[in-house]
Amino acid sequence: AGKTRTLQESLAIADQAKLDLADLNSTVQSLYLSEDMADHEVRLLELDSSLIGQLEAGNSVKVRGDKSDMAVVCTEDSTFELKSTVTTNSLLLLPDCKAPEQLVSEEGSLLHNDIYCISHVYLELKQCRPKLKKLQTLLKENIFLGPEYENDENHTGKKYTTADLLSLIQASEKELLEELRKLQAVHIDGYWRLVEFDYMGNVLQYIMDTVDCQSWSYDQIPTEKLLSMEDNVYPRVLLEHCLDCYGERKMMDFDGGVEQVHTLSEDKVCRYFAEYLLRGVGKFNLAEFLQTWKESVPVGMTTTLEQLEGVALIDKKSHPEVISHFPVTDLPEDAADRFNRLFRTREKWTLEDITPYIRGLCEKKTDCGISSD
Amino acid sequence: MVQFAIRMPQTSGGCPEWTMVELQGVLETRDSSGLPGNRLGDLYFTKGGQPILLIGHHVLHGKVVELEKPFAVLVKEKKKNTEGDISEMDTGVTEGHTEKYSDYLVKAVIKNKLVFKNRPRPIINLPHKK
Repeated sequence: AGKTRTLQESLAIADQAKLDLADLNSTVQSLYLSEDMADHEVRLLELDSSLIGQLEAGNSVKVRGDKSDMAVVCTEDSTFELKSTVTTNSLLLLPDCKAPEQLVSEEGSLLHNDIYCISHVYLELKQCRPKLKKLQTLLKENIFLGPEYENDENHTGKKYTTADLLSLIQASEKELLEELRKLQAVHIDGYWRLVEFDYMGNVLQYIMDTVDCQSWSYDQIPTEKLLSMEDNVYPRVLLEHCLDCYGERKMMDFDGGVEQVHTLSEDKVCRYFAEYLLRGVGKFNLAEFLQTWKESVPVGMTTTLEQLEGVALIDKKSHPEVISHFPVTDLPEDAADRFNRLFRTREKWTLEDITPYIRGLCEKKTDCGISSD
Repeated sequence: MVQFAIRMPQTSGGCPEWTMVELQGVLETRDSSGLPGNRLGDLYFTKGGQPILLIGHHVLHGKVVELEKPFAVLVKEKKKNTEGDISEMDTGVTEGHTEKYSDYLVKAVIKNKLVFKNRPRPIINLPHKK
């Protein structure tokens, strides 16, 4: 059937329908279901304004999903869950429909418009936490123990580049890099590696010994001088990585110009020593632990209980009081699983004690509203 | 893991903007000719900008709604396979370890919809269809 509708025919019906013709815009749009509607397969995706902006700027967003997982959509810095919603309504898509403000002709006219397709389904996005637990599993396939071990039989596991990881992990690049930073992973030869705990400690100790030897101060370690020392026993990339994990970069003014220095963080260094002690034993008499810990940290650094947040649990009800290693990085990623694990470990929690272990669970842009007990 | 991209082709005119019309329920035709090609109805706007749809025996009064969350209209990209033919690469084509999934392109965005939720008012005294 051709598009034969005339303005007259249309107005006749409008009149019968008792529409007030004087109140109508003089242009009528006659809607036709397009001939090849069946070939017009589309997906409707609800967007938020940040996503439109990214797409309009020419950036693509990535859809990532395991066959068993829900799929996610990732921009450069955020992750969204993708959900399909069915509606009982009919959603007609019209490419050429004119809005009232575009219908400006004085004279009456009839326009023919095609309906591209009709949909009953659309996809919704909900911002969510990235799914990052898999990252630890992947990186544990080949942990870095030092250059001398790289070719031994324990180091035949797969190594992963950033692109490799992004194709396997449901997260945006920014979220992935942030998690790698939290895991203290180091980037060597293009691959991300977890550094073995004791090895990292050795590097840290070496740095501190060197600082003492050179009579530098922990607050102002001259970065380049340290890294370029001739007889360093550790690779430069590891030394720099350790400085970044346990300190901060600063630019300082010296006679002769501006130089980059590292300031060691007392909290991060003390936390390392606490973990070192706790990992070996698991559980410690609290009083003994506190004393041993105090004696093990570098001269001039002070240990505080706050440094143990997310690392250890203190049982004040036992006699004598004990402290156990309880790192947040070992806990499940899924909120329900995590709460189960926390309450299996301890029946009752104070808000103060539990907060370090659930802080990471908060969805972006929402508050962590927790009721007590 | 499956990975593909959604992107908006960069054209000189920018991304086309389409309109959505939302109707309650499902459309049916009186005869068995099927839907494609048929005229659905006529769309009027009042001088105040309110949309009115005349479909079959019904008058539907609606309103223009600006979408809080715009829609992207996505179509699967047609990719060339290695022989140079253009075909749609569908799910599950395995070449060794990687599965190739097509990207999706944003064909248009929809920022407004015409929603017809009011009860249709039947048109009486319609002439018979020829």
